[in-house]
Amino acid sequence: MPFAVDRRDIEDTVVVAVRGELDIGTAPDLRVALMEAIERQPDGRIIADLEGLEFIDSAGLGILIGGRKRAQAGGGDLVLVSTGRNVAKILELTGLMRVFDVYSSVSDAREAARPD
Amino acid sequence: MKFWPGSPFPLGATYDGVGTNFAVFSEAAERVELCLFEPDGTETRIPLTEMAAWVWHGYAPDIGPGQRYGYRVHGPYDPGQGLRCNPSKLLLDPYATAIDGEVQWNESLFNYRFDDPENSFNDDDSGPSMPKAVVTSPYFDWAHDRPPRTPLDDSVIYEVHVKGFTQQHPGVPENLRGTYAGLAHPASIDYLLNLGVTAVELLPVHQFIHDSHLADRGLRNYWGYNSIGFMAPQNDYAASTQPGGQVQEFKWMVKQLHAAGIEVILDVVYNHTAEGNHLGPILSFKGLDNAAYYRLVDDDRRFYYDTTGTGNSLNMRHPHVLQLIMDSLRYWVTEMHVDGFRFDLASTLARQFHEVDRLSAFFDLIQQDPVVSRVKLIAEPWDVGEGGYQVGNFPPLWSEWNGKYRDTLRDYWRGEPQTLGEFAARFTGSSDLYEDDARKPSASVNFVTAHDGFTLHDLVSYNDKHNEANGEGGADGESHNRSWNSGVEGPTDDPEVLEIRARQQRNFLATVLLSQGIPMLLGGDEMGRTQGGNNNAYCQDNEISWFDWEHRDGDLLAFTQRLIAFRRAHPVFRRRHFFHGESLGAAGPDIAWFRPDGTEMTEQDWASGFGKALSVFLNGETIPSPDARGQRVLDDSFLLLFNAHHEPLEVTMPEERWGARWVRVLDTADAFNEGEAVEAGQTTKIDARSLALLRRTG
Repeated sequence: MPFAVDRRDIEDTVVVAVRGELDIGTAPDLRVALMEAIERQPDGRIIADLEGLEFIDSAGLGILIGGRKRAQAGGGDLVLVSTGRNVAKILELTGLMRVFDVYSSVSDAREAARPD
Repeated sequence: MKFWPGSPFPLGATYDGVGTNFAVFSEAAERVELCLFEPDGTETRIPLTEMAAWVWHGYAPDIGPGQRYGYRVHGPYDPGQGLRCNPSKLLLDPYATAIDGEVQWNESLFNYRFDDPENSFNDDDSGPSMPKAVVTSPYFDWAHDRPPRTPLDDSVIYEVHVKGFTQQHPGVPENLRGTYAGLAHPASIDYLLNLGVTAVELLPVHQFIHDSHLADRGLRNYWGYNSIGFMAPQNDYAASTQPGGQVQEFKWMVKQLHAAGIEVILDVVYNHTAEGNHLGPILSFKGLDNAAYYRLVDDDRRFYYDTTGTGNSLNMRHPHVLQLIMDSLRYWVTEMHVDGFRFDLASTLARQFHEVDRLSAFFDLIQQDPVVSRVKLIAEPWDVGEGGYQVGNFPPLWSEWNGKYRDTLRDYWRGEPQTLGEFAARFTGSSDLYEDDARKPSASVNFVTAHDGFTLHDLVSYNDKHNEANGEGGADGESHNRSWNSGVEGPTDDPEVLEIRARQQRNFLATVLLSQGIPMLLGGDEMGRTQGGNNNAYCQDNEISWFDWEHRDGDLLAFTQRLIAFRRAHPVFRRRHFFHGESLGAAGPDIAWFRPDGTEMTEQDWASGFGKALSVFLNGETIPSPDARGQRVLDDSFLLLFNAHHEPLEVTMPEERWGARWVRVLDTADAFNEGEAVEAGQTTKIDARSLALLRRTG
C-alpha cells in the first residue's frame, strides 16, 4: 500500500489517517498534516488513525511525539487509533503505549473524548 | 515567521520531530541573531531574545531538517582586549551537526582590509561566502547495530583516509568513490576483511576548511587537521548531495563496518581550529566569543597562544570549551556509533597553563565520563610546545602512538648502530615506558609509518624527502626520517635494489605484527603505496596520496594477510602482560634472548656495538593471563631470528632445553628457507637483512 495521509473533520475532531510505510522519507508529510490540524484548531483534539499503517520507524515516532507535545501546549491533544500488530508492538517496545491514549477505533476515540 | 522562546538546552540546533530549538553560547555578545537561509540564498534574521547563563536560545516551530542557518553576534570589537564581535560576519554554530558548502575565500571573511591589517576594520557581509550549518534529523535506522568491542590486545589498526582509499578503486561504483558510502561498499569491506585488520582509524572526518594559502597554490587540505565543525562529518566525503545527507551516510558506513566486525576509530583534532592566528578568517569561535574559546597571549590579547604550530590553541581552561569537546566526543559515540578516538597533538589538550599535566581537567573529564571512558582512546603524545614530547606519560586508560618504537625500528632495519637493548624493549611492548604505572603492552601502538611521513614503500626507497609538489620549494616536512633508499634514490629497475626494498618492507611489517602491543598499519603500506617520496602530503588531494589499486603489490599484500592471520592465530604475540624474563616453573622463562652463537645474551652483549643480530625465544606455555573463561592459554613456542646485517649469518640453535626441533614457518627473505627443520645445537642460515620465525615442534 503506498503511503498516504488523509485529513477529515468529524464535528469538532480532526482525524488524520495514515496508510503505508511511515519512515524518514514519508514522515515530513505527516508532520505537515498534523501541523495544519493544530493550526486550525489549537485547542482541538486530533485523532491520528494508524490502522492502515504497515511500518513505522523512529522518524515517524518522533513526529507523533512532537505533534502531541505541540497539541498539548495549545490546550488540545493528540490520540492514536491502532490495532495492527506491527505498530502496536513498536509502541509497546518503546514505552509509548503508556504515553499516548490509544484506541481501537475512531468512534471509540471520539466516544472517550465526550464529557460524561 | 513564528518564533518561540525555546530552551537553552541542548546546545545546537535540535529537531524534535516537529520544530527546531536553537541554542548557542556567547558571553561576549550583546545581541545574537539567528540567520535562516533559503535555497536561493535569501537570509532571514531572527533576534534571539532569550538568554540564560550566556546561552542564547529560541524555538522555530516550522523549521526542520535541511534548513540552513548561521549566527551573527553584536558586541564589542576590541582586538587588543581579545574581543572580536562583528555582526557583518556570518558564524557557524560550534554544535552544527552538518555543514553545507565550502568557504569562498575573499576579504569579506576577515575583520580587516588586506592592505592594512593593523588598523582597518572590515564590515563586508561574509554571509554569501560562508558555508552554512544545517539542521539534521537525528533519526536513523540502526537496526541491530552493536559495537564490535574488539579487545585492544587483539586489535590490528589500519590508518586510512576516507577519500584516498576508494577514490581510484575500480570495484567501487564511480559515484561512490572517495566517499563514506565508498568505504562502506562491499568491495572495500571485503578487502579489509581479507587483510584481517580489526579497526579503521580514519584521518579527520570532522568538518574542516580548505585553507586559503593552499587554495592560492591550487592545492587542498587533504588530511583535514583543520577542524571547524566538531559534530559535523566532512561534507565533501559524502556521495549524498542533500544538505545534511552526510550524517545519514556516515551512520550507514559505521553500520556496514560494524556488521563486518570492523571498528571505527576517528582521528580527532581538538587542539586548534581552522580560524588561524590574529590574521586568520572569522568563521565561528572568534566571532562568537574569542576570549572564551581561545588561549590568548597574557600580556597582549590580540595574539593567540600557539603550541600546535597552527596559529591558535583552544582554551582548555574554559568550561564551555571543555563541554564542547566532551559533547562532541559523546555525540560521535552515542549518535554516530564510533568505537574510539585518536587525539591529534594530545599534549596540547593536557596543557593547563604552560606545562603538560597528567592531572589536567581534560584527563579528569575523560576518566569520569560514562561514555567516553569506555571507548578506545589513543593519544598522539606530543606537540610542539615546551616539554611536548610525552611518550609514556599518558594515564592508564590511554594507548599512545609509540614514536620511540617507530624510530628504533627504522634505525634497526637500516643498519644504524644502536643498542640491542633498545630494540628488544620496543619489540616486547616498551615496558620501560608503560609498566611503571601498571599499564599493559596495549598502551603501546606500534607503527613504523603513519600518514605524517613516508609511506612504507617510500621509507625503503628514499633517503630524502621530495616535497616539491607542496609548493614550498621542498622545504616543508620532516628532514630526519631515518630512512634508507636501499641503494638508489627513488624509482629504479635495478633488480637487486628492488629485492632489498621488497625484503625491507616485509621486515618492517613482520616486526610490527610480531611485536607485543597494538600494531598499526598505514593504509596502503600492505600494497606498496608510494607518494613518490613526498613525506608531507597533507595538501595533495590527488594521485600522490590516493591508493593506486591498479599498481598494487600483490605479493606484499598476500604476505601481510598471512602475517595478520598468523598474529591473530597465536596469542603469544599479543600477550596482555609484559614478559618477566624469569623462570616460571617447569616450562622455563617466558622469554629469552640469544646471540647468533646460540648462547644467552649477557649484560655485556646488550650494550655491545655490534647490535645487528639476535634471536628471541617466546614461550607459548607461560602466557600469564587466562582466557575469558579463566582457562590457561596455551600456544606454540617460537624463536625469532633477526639479522639487520648486510650479509647472511650462520645462527646456532640454542641447546635442547629450549626446544629439540624447530621448523621455519616464516621468512622475510623471499621464503628463503621456509619449511626447513633444524635441531638444537645445529646451525641454520639467515639471509642478509631478514627475519625468520621458527616454531618449536619437539
